[in-house]
Amino acid sequence: MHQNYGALAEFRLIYLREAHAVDGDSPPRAAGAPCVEDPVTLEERTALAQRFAHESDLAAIPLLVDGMDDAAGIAYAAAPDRLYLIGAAGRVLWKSGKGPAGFDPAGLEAAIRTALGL
Amino acid sequence: MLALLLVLQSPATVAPTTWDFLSAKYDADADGRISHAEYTRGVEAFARLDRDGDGALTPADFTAQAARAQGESQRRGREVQRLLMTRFQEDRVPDLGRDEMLRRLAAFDRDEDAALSEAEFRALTSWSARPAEKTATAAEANVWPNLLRAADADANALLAHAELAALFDRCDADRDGMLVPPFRARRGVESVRPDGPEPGDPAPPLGEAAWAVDRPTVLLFGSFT
Repeated sequence: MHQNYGALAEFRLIYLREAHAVDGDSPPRAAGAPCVEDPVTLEERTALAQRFAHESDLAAIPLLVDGMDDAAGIAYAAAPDRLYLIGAAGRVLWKSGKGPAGFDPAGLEAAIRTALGL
Repeated sequence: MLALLLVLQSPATVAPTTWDFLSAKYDADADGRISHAEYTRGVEAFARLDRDGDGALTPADFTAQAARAQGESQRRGREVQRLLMTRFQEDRVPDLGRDEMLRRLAAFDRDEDAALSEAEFRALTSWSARPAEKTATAAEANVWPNLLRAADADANALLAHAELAALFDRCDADRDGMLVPPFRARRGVESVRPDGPEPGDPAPPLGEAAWAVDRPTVLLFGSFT
């Protein structure tokens, strides 16, 4: 989607607190799930965010890292993952549900096309 | 979905088990146990990982059975916190302060024994419970036994104010003397809406140049796992 619409819309990847860190409140349950520790410093969180972007094939998208107070994740109720489309006026145009169940790339694409008048 | 994508694309980063991951990193003397001294990420994280509470991290902490027991313990903890926040507040606002709870207990302590009896709890609840909770009689019948199970350390069928204060402190993870709804659990940060901003709302700030002024901006929130 970034490749298709990157010339017409901006994309930002915002890295949040780990949803299922091995030492977190909700450790991974599925066998074979990635083993990641919850970063305890912003430097650790930033390094993990960069690894996340690289290994998720999202490195082409500008990366923002939520602060250790999780301000962005809370303000957007975005954990564990979520999509938003922000209009040129700085207002929310569209949002998905919370992931993984609410993650809605098709809805995002439709919202982008509507916003761009396509 | 982001995490799923990662798992599919990056099998080399997936450790076989949580125990393998942790032991490779922390079991310095390779004795099959990770001690407090070997673990370097703090006592709170150690306590979360030490699911059987034996003071060391071992493979037994990471079995499916241990995970289920931890999940059940967390569920009971959330339920007890909800009970405190809905039954002991003075002002019908869900936030509950420790001092506020103790004032409520004192106000309903009719025999002045610094403990809450079931009769006193019923009197207190009849004021504070919301209508929907009053009519939920089956669930309501379990509230007092659940509180006893969670807090009655000396098993005398009374909840001493000190026992309830200790229960409050166990729920108050950030030790700020307040219990707040989960969506505001991170101290000092409040979401304008519990489910985030709605279409038409101003987007909460994300720092300079977080979005473009001349075209739409897609925000993808996520983490590794």
